Amino acid sequence: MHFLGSFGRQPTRDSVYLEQSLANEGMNEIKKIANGLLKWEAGMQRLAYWRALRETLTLLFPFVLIGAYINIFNQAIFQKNGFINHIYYVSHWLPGFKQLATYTSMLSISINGVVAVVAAFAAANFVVRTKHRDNLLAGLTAALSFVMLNFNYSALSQQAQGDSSEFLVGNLGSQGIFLALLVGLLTGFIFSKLAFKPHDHQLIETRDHLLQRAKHNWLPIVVSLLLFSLIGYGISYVSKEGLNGLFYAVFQLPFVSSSTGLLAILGTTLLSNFFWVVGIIGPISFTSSSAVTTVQNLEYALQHGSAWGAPNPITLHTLFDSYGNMGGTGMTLALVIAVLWRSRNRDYRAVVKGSWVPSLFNFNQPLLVGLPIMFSPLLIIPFLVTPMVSMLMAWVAIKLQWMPAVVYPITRTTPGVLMGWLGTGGDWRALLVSVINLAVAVAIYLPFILLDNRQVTGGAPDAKA
Amino acid sequence: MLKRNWWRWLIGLFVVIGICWPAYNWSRANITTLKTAGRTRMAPIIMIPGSSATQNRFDSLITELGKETPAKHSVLKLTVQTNGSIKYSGTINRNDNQPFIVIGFADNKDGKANIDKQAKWLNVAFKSLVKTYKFNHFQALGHSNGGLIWTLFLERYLKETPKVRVERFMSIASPYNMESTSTTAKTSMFKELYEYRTGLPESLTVYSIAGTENYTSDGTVPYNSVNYGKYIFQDQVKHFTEITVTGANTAHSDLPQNKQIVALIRQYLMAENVPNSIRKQNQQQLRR
Repeated sequence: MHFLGSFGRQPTRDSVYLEQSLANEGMNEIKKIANGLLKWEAGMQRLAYWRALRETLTLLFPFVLIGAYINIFNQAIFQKNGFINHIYYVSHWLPGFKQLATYTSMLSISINGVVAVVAAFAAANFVVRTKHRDNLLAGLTAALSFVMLNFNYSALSQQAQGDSSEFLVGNLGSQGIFLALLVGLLTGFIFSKLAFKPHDHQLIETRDHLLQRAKHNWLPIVVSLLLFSLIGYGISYVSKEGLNGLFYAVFQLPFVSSSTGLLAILGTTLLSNFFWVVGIIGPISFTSSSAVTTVQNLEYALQHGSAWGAPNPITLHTLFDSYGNMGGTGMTLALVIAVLWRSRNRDYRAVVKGSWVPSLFNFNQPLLVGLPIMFSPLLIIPFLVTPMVSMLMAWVAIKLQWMPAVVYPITRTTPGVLMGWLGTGGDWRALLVSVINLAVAVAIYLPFILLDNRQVTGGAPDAKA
Repeated sequence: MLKRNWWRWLIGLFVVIGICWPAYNWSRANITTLKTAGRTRMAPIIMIPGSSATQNRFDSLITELGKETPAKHSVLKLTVQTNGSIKYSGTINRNDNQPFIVIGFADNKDGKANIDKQAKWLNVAFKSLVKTYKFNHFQALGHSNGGLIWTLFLERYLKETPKVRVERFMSIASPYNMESTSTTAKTSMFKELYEYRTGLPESLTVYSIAGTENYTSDGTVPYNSVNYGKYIFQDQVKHFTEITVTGANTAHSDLPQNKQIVALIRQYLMAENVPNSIRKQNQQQLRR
C-alpha cells in the first residue's frame, strides 16, 4: 500500500501563500475555522472505526478505477447515445460494435454492480484486524450479511414470475456502499466483542486450526447473520427496495420530483450530493433528461429553430445536469484541476493522475473512494458548495437572458464543460458561462487543497491515511 | 513548467479541437435529424381513472402489466388542475414506443356536470401531450367514470386534433347509464353520450368490460348500466365487444388489477403477442 500518508517534508510556497493570504485579509476567524477543520480531520483519523472506513475506501479504489474506465468504454463509446460514439460515429465503422457493447456491459455490470459486497467485506476485515480477532471470517460474515440485508422478498411471493431476481441487485453496486460500510463496521464491532479468543495468524493453515477458528467465532457469525437478516426482513414490510429504497424514497416526495423553482432545485441537488459523499451514489444523476419539461423545451426549440424563449428555462436538467455536474457530481473536474495544479499531497496526486480521464466523461467514483472525498470533512464542503454556486451563476445568466437554456439533448458522458455549449446548439455564451463556472469551482476547491498541503507538510504529522 | 511541457500543451490543444469540432458538427446534425423526424412510432396507452381516484389509481395495474411484459413501459402521470394547468410526474423514455400515460384530475368528483368538465380538461391535457410527444395514434383505457370521460372526449373533442387517431378504446365497468339499474329509464348522462355518438371515430374498436359479483352488479356499478354502452357504440364504431368477467376480485375497485382483465388488456388493448395460455383463457371468456 503506497497510499500511506507522507509527512516530514519542507513547508512549501503554497502553505506560505495560504498563511499570507489569510493574514493579509486579517481573517483570523477563517484561520481558526481552517485549523479547526484540520484538527477535526486529524482527530477523526484516530478513531479505529473511522480509519477502517477510510482504509476500506482506499482498498476499493483500484476496482472502482477499473470500473470507471470500463464505464467510459461501455457508456461513452459502445453505447448508442455515448458521447464518443456520437461525435466519431463509431458504430458506423467499427466492426463488432454490438459484440463489444455486450461485452463491456457485462464488465461494467459485474465490476460496478457488486462493489458494495466487497466494501462490506473490507470494512469488517479492517475493523477486526485492529482488535486482533479473526478478520477473514468477519469479512466473509459481513459480505453475507450485507447480501442478506438486500434480499428481494417479493421474489418469494406467490405472484412473482421466474425472472425477478432473488436479490435487490441495484443495492449491491456503488449506490449500496453506505449500507455496506455500515454493515461491515457493525459486523466488525460484533466480532470484536463476541469472539471468544484472539486470532493468531498462521503462515501455513492447518485443518485443525481452521476448525479452531470456527469454534472461536461461531457466536459472532450467528449473531451477525441473524441480526442483518432480521433487519432486512423487517424492512421488506416497509420498503420493497430495502433500506436503500427508503433513502431514495425522499426523492419521490413532491417537493423534489417536480421542481422548477430555484430553491427546490438547489435543495434537491444538495440532498443528492450529500447522499453521494456518504456513499449512496446516484439518486438524481441525470435522470431528468427525459422529463416532460425537457421534452417541451426541445419541441419548442425545434419548432422555433432556436433555444431562446424555451417554455421551461429553469429545471433540474437545465441547471444541474448542464452546469452543476462537470466531471461528475460535485464539479469534480474542478477538484482534478485544483489537485494537479497546486496539491503537494502525494496520495492526492497519485489518485487524480489515475482518475482524471474518467472525470472528463463525468465518472467521478474513483475520486470519491480514492482521495477519498467520501467521509472527508475537508473535501465534503467544496463538494457540496461548488455545484450550488455553478447552478446559481447559470440561473442568473439564464434569468438575465445572457444565454439561452439547454434545450437540445446532451448525453451524460458529454464532457462537463461542453454541456451548455452543445445543449444550446452551439451558443458560445453558454460555453463562456461553463468555463467561468469551472474557474470559480477551481477557486472554491483550491483553499481546501492548500489547507490539505499544510496538513501534509507543516502540520501535525498525520498518521496512516 | 510551461516551457518544459510545451509539447504537452500542444497535444492538449489538439485533443480539445479534436473533440470540440466533431462534437459541434454532431450536435448540429442531430438537431437537423430531430427536426425532420417526429416521434410518429410512439403509440401511448392513455388511462383515465374513475371518480375520486387519483393519477396513481393504475399503479398496481401497471406493475401487473410490467411483470409479464418483456418490454419495460415508462409511465407519465398528469394531473389537470381546475384552471387547466397541468402537473407532470414521471417520464417517457426516449425509445419507448408504448408508454403508459395516466391522466388524473384535481377535481375528480362524481356527477354529470363534473364529467362534462373533466372531458374538457382531458382535451387540454391531450393537446399538450400531442404537442410535446408528437404521437399520431394511441389506445385509450378508462376505469368506471374514466370510460365516460373518454367517450365524451372521443365523441366531441378528438376532432380538434385531426392528425391523431385513436385505435382501440377499452372501458372497465363504465356506467354508461350512471347508477341506474333500469333497462328503460335513461339518465341525462346517457342522453348526452347518446346524442353525440355520431362523432365517434368510425375506425375505432371498443371493448367494454363489465365485472359482476352477482347477477346485477359489481357491488358499485349496475350491470345494466354498463350494458347501456351498446346503444352508444353499436353501429357507430368498427368493432364493439362486450366482455363480462366474474369470479375472484370482481368488486368494482378491484377490476383494474383483476388478473383476467389484465390479460384482456394485454391481448386486446396493447395488442401484445401473449402466450397461448392467456389467449385461451381470454377466448373462453368470449365464448360465453
